[in-house]
Amino acid sequence: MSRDKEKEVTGPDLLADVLQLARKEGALTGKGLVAFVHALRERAALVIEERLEPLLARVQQLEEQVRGLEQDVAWRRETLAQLEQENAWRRDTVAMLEESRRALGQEGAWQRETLARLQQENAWHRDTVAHLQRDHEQSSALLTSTVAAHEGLLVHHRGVLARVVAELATVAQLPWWRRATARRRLSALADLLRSELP
Amino acid sequence: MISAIVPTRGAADRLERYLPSVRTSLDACAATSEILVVDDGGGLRVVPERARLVSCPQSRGYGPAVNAGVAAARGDRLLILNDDVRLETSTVRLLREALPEEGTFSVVPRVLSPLARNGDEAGKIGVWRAGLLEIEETASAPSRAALYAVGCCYLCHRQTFLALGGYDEAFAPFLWEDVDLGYRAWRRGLATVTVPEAVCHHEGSATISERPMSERQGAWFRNWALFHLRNVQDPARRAAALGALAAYALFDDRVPVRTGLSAALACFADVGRRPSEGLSDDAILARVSAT
Repeated sequence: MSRDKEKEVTGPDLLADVLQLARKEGALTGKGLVAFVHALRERAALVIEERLEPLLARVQQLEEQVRGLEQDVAWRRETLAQLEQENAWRRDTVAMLEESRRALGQEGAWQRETLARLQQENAWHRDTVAHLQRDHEQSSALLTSTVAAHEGLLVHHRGVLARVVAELATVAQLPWWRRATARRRLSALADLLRSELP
Repeated sequence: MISAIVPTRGAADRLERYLPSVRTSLDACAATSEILVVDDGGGLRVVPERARLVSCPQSRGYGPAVNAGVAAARGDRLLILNDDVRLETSTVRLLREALPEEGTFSVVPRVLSPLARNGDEAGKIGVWRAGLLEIEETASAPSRAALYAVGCCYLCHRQTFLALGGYDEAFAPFLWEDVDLGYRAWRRGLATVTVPEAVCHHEGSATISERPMSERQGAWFRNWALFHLRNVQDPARRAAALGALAAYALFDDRVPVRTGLSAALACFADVGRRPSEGLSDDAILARVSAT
């Protein structure tokens, strides 16, 4: 239906037409007027109720929607606050983890340095042990040769000493005339002992 | 002889679906019969089996179509039907047995329908409320006086139908013509009575529901207003009806209401008020009230 047609049917003429007919039929005088007004009031109440009913239902529906939206907004707000708290907690956790990561990095570097140092030290220890081993082996060999030399020398000195004792005993028993012999033998003995001096 | 009058708007599929039950029920009632299919608008391509076609090339609605069918009918009794009703085998026989020779306009079966709030369209009563007659549904059982015979299925004497002038074509194309006819019959002391043992199954205003809602609402309001302007005789009730219509003019801005009321006033200016004779409005309402 066009706008013009709507205006036409919703204009005041319709009421005027009804009233004109009512007047023509004598419905606006005497008992007729009472019945007319009474019915008009009662029917108007029904019409308004009928017309209002969908509007009231709509208002109720909108109120329910608003209540729903308010609940939704409150829920969103609460959720947002929770998310913000969670976000802050995440930020703190990330910072903490970052700090831990940095500390672990430093510790790792220190451990790497220590390890290198220990490896160097270990190598030095290994070298030292090898060196000592060699020294020990050399010392042992030296000791063995020294002991052998000493033993030899001791045997030699004992031999020398025995020869000296024997010579001295022999010289001591020489008669006085054989002093030159004694002298010569003592001199040879002195040479012998001299040769033993370092 | 019973003449079944079935107006249709070219609904061959509905006729094919429902007419066999009408034939069966007519055959089972031990009376000669005929079926007149009134083709309202000339859309029907095939004449249903064992039916006579009454063609109305220009569609004018339910009332004029039934009137055309009645004019062509040969029976002394009329079985007025819609094209979307299924009758039980015993329906026509029970209606025929219940229709007295005098004093009754029509007998109506129990009309089982999804449209009725209580599932039964037949027990229509009238309630005067805030200046206007309103239709209410009650159970059709036990047998009771109804305000009018629902147009989908009833049996009446052809002579009575014609004496009443048939359906008032001012109500065309549809709605309230059956209330108007029933009210006019009551005015003459001719009752409409339910026969609950007889059963009719109604698909539910199949023809009217094809129309746009705004058209249906406009037609309903137009004919509701026209019914009061044409029929209500008691001066106080008539003044009250006009007061109630004034309330709609004042407070209801729905387009179908305003176009309907406007059309009713215009139509009333042409067709006028019925003569004041017979039972009073109070007497009629007393007979068709809830109690």
